[in-house]
Formats: sequence, structure tokens, C-alpha cells
Amino acid sequence: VNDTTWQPSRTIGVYTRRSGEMTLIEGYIDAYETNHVGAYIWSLCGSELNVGDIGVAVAEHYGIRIERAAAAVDVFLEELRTRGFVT
Amino acid sequence: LEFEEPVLALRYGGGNERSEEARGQLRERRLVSVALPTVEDLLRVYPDFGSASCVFVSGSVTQGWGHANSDLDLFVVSRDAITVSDVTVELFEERVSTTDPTVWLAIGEVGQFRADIELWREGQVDELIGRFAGSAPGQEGAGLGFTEKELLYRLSVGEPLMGEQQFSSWRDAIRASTFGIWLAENRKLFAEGMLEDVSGMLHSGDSESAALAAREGFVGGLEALLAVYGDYSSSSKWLYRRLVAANPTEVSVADGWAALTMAGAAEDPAGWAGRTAALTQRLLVAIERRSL
Repeated sequence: VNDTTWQPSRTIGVYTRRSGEMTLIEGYIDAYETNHVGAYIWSLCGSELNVGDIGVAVAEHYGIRIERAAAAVDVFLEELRTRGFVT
Repeated sequence: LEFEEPVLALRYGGGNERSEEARGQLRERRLVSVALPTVEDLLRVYPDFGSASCVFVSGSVTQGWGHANSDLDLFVVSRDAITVSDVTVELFEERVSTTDPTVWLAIGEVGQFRADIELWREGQVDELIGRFAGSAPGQEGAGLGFTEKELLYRLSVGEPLMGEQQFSSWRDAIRASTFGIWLAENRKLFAEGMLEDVSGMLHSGDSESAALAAREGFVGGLEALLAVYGDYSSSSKWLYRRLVAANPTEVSVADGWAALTMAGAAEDPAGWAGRTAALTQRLLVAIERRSL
């Protein structure tokens, strides 16, 4: 993700549901599971926070350095975008 | 909370939607190809279904109402339980009201379509149809949940892929049964409950709630009317299409659409609620004359 002002929005028609300890993010056919950190980032998609804000939120939520949080958010959002779950 | 790297791992599905290009191609194929899969297509993907006595497809795709995100609703009926061995399929257990209470629901993939697959046993289907073989049972007696109602509806409009004789026998039995009358009464009672609320709300001056209740009542009344016309669906999202297809004499498509979209309710909720309740009441009287 090059643009830290990007506000990721969930694609209309994507399902989210809990499955045991994991969270499922489901498209038309393919369904992906994510852990609690992924689910937390996913919960902030569509909240009008931008990528930078999401990084700060993750850093505060998990008590980690902002650089580490931002890097994880960056990679995860790019994966979500590639799979068509966010725009 | 301990931080760990976020992961995104494929849980089910073939991974064919990995890229925007692939998703676009699949969407295009769903739009241009209305051809249903053959039984060979199905058994190539799910050989476990080879022991089924009947497989049929039903839903918007068979009705000619398919869209870019339509799924394929497949029903697999067998004498004995089928175990799905394909690990890319997501399975859910559903409890129904038959003596054998288990139905398996599977989410799979056939060609360009997501396939929502229900696995039933012959005895369950016979038992459900049998409840409506004589006079219509009372509303408290039939004990049909949503899944069972949907099965009977889907059987009434589906297309067989396998076991055509068995399918035709079940479909004809449903059409000759009192299921439609039971369903019409079921929806009519719901509508009457809503109309009672409309009356009370208008007396109390709660015009906005009366308008919302009147819309609910109209939906129930329209569904009851459609059931009398042989449309056993419980899907309100298709009500416009269903109204056009049935084209009942009791309500025009234009009037039906105006009621469904609550045209004029924002400006005059009390007046709209009263007019819509009166329209619904006329539908309910017509239904009684025709069926009950």
C-alpha cells in the first residue's frame, strides 16, 4: 500500500462470520480465514479510518511499536485488496 | 492481547478468485452462460453424488432471473446418507422436523458458480410431502421450518439433473397436494396479524409504525395470493419478479410495486397505511374465496 491516506472499504457482498477461534471472510466462492489480528484490522475496514490510522489503532490495541503495526497492516490490506475484499 | 502477524489463508473454495482478472472472468461467464451444469459436470467435481437417486437444480438461475452473483442451488437426494469427501467443501449440519432430522448443507463450486448444496434422504422428502397428501393440516400441525418449506418450493420449480422419474413424481405430488393452501393460510394469518397492528397503531396515532406494519402485511398478503397461484417461494427479494410472473387478477403489477416500495408513505404515513391495509384486506378476502 503506497498511499497511507487510503481509506479501505469493504466490497459490497462480502460475508464475515466467526468460526471457532478464526474469522472467515467470504467472497462469492472462495473463503479465507484470518486470526484475531487480521480480524481486528478487518473490523476497521469501512470505518473511515485510513491506512495510517489503522496502523496506529493496531499499535495501541496490541501495545507494539507503530512501525511493526504499520508494516503488518500494509501487507494484510494489500492481500485483502488482491482478493477483492476491500477497495 | 498478544500480537501475531495477521494471516489470510484459503479455508474453502478452489482459490479461483485470487485476482481481479479471474473474478471478472467468472462474473462474465455467469452473465453470458445460462446453461445449467450437466450431471457429468457435477459428478466430475463431486463423484460422491453418484449414489444419489435424484439430483436437481433450482433457484434464480433456473427461473431465468440469474445475475452476476447468483449461486447454483443444488439438491441431492439419496436413499442412504452420502458422505462428502471433498475437503474444499464447507459443510454445515441443519436440523429439520422429519423423523430423520439431519440435513447436510454444503458450499461448493461447479464451473463458474458457487453451489449451495443440500443433501436430503428420500424418506425425509416423502415424509414432508406426505404431510400435505390429504386435507390441509392446521398451522400448528405441519411443523414446517424454513428449510423444509424451501425444499418443497424448490421441488415444485426445479430442473432434474439425475433421477428424472423420481423428481417428476415428487413434483407432481407437491402440485397435487394441499401445501399451497397451507402456505397461503400461513401467510394470510401473518398478514392479518399485521393488519390488526395497523389498526391499533393508527388509533394510537403512531402513523409511521402503522405504515411499516402495513407494508409487512401487504407482503404477507401478496405471498399468500401467489401461493394460491402456485408460487410457493418464501423469498421476498424476488417479489416483483414473482408478481410479474404470476400476474394475478387481484392486484396489478403497478399497484403491487407501489405498495412494496411504499410510494407516498413518507408524505402521508397514516393515509398510506390505511389504503395499503384496505388493499391487503381485499387480497385476503379474494384468497379465502379462491382457496380456503
